[in-house]
Amino acid sequence: MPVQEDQPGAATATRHPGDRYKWSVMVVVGSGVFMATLDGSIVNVSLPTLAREFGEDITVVQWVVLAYLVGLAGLMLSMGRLADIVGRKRTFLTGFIIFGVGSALCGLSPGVWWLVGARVVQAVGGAMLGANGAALVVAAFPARERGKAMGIIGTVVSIGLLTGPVVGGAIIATLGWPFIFLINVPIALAATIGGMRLLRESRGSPGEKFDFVGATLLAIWIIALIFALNQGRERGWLSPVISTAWVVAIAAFAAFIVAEIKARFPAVQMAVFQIKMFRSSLGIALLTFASLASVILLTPFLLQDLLGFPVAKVGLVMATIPAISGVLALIGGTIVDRFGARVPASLSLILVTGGMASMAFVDENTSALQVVLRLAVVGVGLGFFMPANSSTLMSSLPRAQLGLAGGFLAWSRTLGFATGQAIGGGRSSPGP
Amino acid sequence: MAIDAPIDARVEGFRIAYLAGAAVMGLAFVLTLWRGKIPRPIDERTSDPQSDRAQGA
Repeated sequence: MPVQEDQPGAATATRHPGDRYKWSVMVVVGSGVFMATLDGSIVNVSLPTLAREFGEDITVVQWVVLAYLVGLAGLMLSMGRLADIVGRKRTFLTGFIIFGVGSALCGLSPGVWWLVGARVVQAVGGAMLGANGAALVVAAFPARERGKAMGIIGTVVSIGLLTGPVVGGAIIATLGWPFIFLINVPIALAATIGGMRLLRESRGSPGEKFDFVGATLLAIWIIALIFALNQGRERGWLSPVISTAWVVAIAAFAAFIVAEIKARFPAVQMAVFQIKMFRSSLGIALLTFASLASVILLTPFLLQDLLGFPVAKVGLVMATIPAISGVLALIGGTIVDRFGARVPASLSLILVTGGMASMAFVDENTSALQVVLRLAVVGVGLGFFMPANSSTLMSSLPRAQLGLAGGFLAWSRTLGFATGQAIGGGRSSPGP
Repeated sequence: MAIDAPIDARVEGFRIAYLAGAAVMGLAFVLTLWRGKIPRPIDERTSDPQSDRAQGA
């Protein structure tokens, strides 16, 4: 007879049959998270190469990043909800297949607009993966290990962010740009086959129907909003294109709210916002990622323009945050499991706030080491914040809505970064 | 911010941006205090038969 999950010391007393399963889920989900993060960071560094290869201006080529960003943000919440209805395994593995097909189409692109279209296909798959990864992991791990599980996911994200520029540079130099996308195909294939064998299907809610109207209005709202935030600085906040985007965003948002109130099975159940723990965790995530985006987007400019660092040195200094937060996310998750999420979440944000504020006092006489120390404080804070807030958000909704919770978690990161980038830099970036 | 702006203006621009970011982060910190005590996850307090683990076990 298996030891009950809620018995203290169960994990050490006897190995639960679910122990093997939870690590199988972590491997499959980790593959998807790593692939998506690696892809995002590789594509970011490859934009100059793509502009040269296609003979296009960088303002055209940046749609390669933007198409993925808006597609991802527009679909994440709906894909989380879809998984709650039809099953997380089915949705997640379909996401792998679509992402793999999209990657193959990207690698075979004869022109830049084909590539942009293929990136939209990738985004559909990426939304299915991004929205359901956390839900699959949370469902597989016992509640007392939730922080550790979210910490491991945070570490995988950091590894993807760190290795992306190096791997991307090596692939472009040796194999050529198509292989920065084609590298995803064998990963997606192996993970799909592994996932089919290893993952268990969630129960789903077969009696409920997917709200296509709500999902479409939601996608229009988010896409218009992200587009306006991302392009506002470059095109002018009051330009006809951006003004139209704002009007579309506001109209779609209003229509979405009305549709969701009337829908029998809404894409986003508004009742979740009555849960204080959920709405506060979501708000904290949005504010944190928006604020973090300003550090990640501004600091390379500060290092290059003000301190005169060469590009390679900028890359090394910027690796401080993901390197430190990636390692500490593992420890942070274990601390959250042992002592609860409240104190780590609050203390970590004091560290991040202090680290960011200290960056305000960098001037032309500041050394590289002094900048690294300031960014290290931000990295330490983030390492503890991510598992603390992610596990709180994922625990704030009932198990039947884990897909929706995971969708909101991933969405808060994308929307937060898009907002922060609009305020802080106005440059294209898919975020972490 | 223009790259050819005077160095003092550039330092000032970065300073304002980072302090604004820190202020937003401070707001997130206040929200963590407002959030209050975080309860234990539902499936830790009660045995959850719908858990993927439970179904597999």
